[in-house]
Amino acid sequence: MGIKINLDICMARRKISAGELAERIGITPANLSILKNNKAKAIRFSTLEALCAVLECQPGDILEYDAGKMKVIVREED
Amino acid sequence: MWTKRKSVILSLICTRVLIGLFVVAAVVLPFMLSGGHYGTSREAGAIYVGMTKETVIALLICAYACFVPAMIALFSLDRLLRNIRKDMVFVGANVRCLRIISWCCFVVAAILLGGWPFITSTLIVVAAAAAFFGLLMRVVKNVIDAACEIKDENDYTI
Repeated sequence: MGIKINLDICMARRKISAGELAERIGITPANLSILKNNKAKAIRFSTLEALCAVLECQPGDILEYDAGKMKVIVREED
Repeated sequence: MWTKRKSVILSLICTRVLIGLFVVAAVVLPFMLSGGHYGTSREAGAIYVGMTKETVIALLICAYACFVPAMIALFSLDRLLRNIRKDMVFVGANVRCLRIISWCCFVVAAILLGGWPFITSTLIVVAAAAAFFGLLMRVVKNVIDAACEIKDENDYTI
């Protein structure tokens, strides 16, 4: 999908493990893994807020828009 | 106390009993229709008044032709119920089972429509009922398919 989640960078900066992060923000390690591997289809504001609070960063540090990954449909006009 | 689990088990039992009855019927039907002259060269005396030998043969052909899609539908129903028992409700496998059941109903309707000129016009009503049930299953399949998408979206919302 077009939105990438850069959790690894933020986690490395704060030197926090996946298990600890999952526990502190109140989600399961499996769900955190879904986020980290960009398999998530949506993220709740409450989860994003918790991530930003624990990792001491802004949403823009975690979320990145990648235009190259978007599927673009081109229609030829007559 | 009656629970959802017991309800699923009851449905499973009924499905398996029906499968057994169908198998028994498939074996016994020629004997029943021929009035006890199964496998002999004697003129078949049908148990139903007014049925000619040709009608009995046509009825047997129709019945055995319907037997195959009916068994496929029943086994799909069994698989569907086993999945529900394992708490796997909104999954692709169940959508496939419902699709198979709906197509089996349409096939049965087509067979009965093909057979009614040789047997009895009552088969038109049975064919219509089978087609209606097939359509019903198709709509249920569409509903479960949509539910699978919603569940998928929900499961991947963190």
